[in-house]
Amino acid sequence: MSKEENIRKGFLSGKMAGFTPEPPEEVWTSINGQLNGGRKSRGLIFFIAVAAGLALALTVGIALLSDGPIEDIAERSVISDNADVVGEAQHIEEESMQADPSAGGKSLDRKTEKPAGPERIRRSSLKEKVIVAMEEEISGNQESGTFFAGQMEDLNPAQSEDTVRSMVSEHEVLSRQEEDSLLNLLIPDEPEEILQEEKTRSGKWQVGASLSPQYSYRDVASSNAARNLDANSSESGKLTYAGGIQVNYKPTGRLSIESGLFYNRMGVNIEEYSNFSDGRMFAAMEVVGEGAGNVISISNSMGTVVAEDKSLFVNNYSAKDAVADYHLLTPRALSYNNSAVDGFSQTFEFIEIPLSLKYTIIDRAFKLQLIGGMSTNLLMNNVLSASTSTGTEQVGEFIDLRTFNYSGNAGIGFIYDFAKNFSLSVEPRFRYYLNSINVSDLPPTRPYTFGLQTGVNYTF
Amino acid sequence: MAVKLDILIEGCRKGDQGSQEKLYRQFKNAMYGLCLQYASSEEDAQDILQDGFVKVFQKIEQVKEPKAFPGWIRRVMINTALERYRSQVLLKRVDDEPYLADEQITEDTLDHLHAETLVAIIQELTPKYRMVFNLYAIEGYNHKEIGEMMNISEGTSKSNLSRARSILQEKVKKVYGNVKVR
Repeated sequence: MSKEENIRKGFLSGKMAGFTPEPPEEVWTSINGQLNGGRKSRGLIFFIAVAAGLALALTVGIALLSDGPIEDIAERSVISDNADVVGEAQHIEEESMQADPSAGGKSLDRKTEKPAGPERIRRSSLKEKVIVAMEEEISGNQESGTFFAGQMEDLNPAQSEDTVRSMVSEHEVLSRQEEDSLLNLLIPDEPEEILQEEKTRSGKWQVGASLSPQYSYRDVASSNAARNLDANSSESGKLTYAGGIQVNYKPTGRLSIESGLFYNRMGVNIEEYSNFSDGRMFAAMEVVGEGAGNVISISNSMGTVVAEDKSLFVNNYSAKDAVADYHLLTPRALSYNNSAVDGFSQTFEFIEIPLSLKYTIIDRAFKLQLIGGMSTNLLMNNVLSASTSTGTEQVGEFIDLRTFNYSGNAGIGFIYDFAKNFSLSVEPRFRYYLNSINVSDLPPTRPYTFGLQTGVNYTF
Repeated sequence: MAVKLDILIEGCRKGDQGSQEKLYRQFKNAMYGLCLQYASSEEDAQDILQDGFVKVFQKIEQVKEPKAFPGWIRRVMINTALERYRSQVLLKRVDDEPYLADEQITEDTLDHLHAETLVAIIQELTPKYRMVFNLYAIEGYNHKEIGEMMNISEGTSKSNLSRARSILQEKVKKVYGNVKVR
């Protein structure tokens, strides 16, 4: 039979069967009250008892004060305490005398009824109490207690079972089964066993899938306040999403490392497109290339947009063919066929590979984690779309964006283990690009997102 | 003289208060001892005892054979302790509950010796270790069963038991290590 089996099917249940302390009488009063339609009222009873006690103490106190000086009260109190201790000691001694002689007053399974009366709580430390209890446990054989204590002091895994077995069997305190179980309890496991148990702990690896609705925008770091204001007044954040698979490895109890592969869609909206025609470099439209009207580009806070097919199309209308004066391009092009553009939308699609650390603050069925790390973001695609009354169409793309971008990530994770190996995670996360998304002379622009990453994970 | 258990159970089924009280008095000490094993304080144990007995009287219809009653009432108390543990897990970090050492042991320690000493030490364990240790070492459940009861994995149950044992070993060593050689 293995050690574990010995413990499980062993001695403790028999020992505990003899543990029958008396509960306070108020428990029954509360049960009775609850059964008769009342609520749990033990607290109230306790409160009333305390109040009654205080009232009694106050009454006695007043009576004592009226009888004599304060010194007398202190003296009486000390005498009373001493009397109580003496009485207690006598009571213990009497009980010890009354114990079954054949068991030496230390039978493991004896059932001693607690004497009626109020409980007197000793105010010594726990250790003292347990020491006293254990000394008494082997009382009548002081030699054995000393021997046991001496052996226990230096107990370590290297000690053989035989040593401890002889300690307990020599004094015939325990049955063989109890002896085995006590040995199992007292002798620490071999390191290999502990390691094996650690290996069997669940939760080393975790895989999952998640989806994150998110708010996406950018931070412009221009020293030109007018440009910032201009860009910020004409652009706004955009609701996008991200999703993918994540892998977690937990090297220790509370720390885990996360990586994975995510699709991340970001971008901004441009409502005030009239700014494109104001001629300014920032948030402006300009004509570049061999000649006016041949190549049309738009620069805004995110980068420089080149129209598809070297022309800006709106409502299937090639802007470059329409005008020679680029300053008039946008309003005329956008109002063509009475299909006015409501606004532009810039979208960037990234493949993200994160490397984050997660620290578990609360490790229960509900877990709370702190998350922090970095991501490599590979730009896969970008588009500029125009929204009109007839729909949305792609009108161009950026030409000066970085392919590799790096972002910092931080968040909080709320995890609920809803089944044995499955958990649900909701993680508010903030992602901020550490580099400017464009490589042009434009002011550095760093996209960021606030997302609510929601996923399901499998732990193994 | 103790009234026969089947008569008491029948009385309880009919809602007879006298039978309920007699049944309570017959089992209260054993059940309070059980509750103390699963509780972190006497107050906690009294709450479990109260909730457990209310359930016993409300669900006593489930007891078909009086012989099965002692096992059934024990199971009700353990389930009540488990429910209390689960609610504590959801509400707060039960691991970090302080242990009120001075309130755990009374003069009865000297009367009950082994059992009470052991209960006092077990009560010092954090709730999750205490729960796993009790269910495994005292009640005899296996890790799979404990995992289902506590909504943890079998591996976690094993690990918790291992750690509970390590802590108990340390506590016993500390206690005996301070006994003076005479």
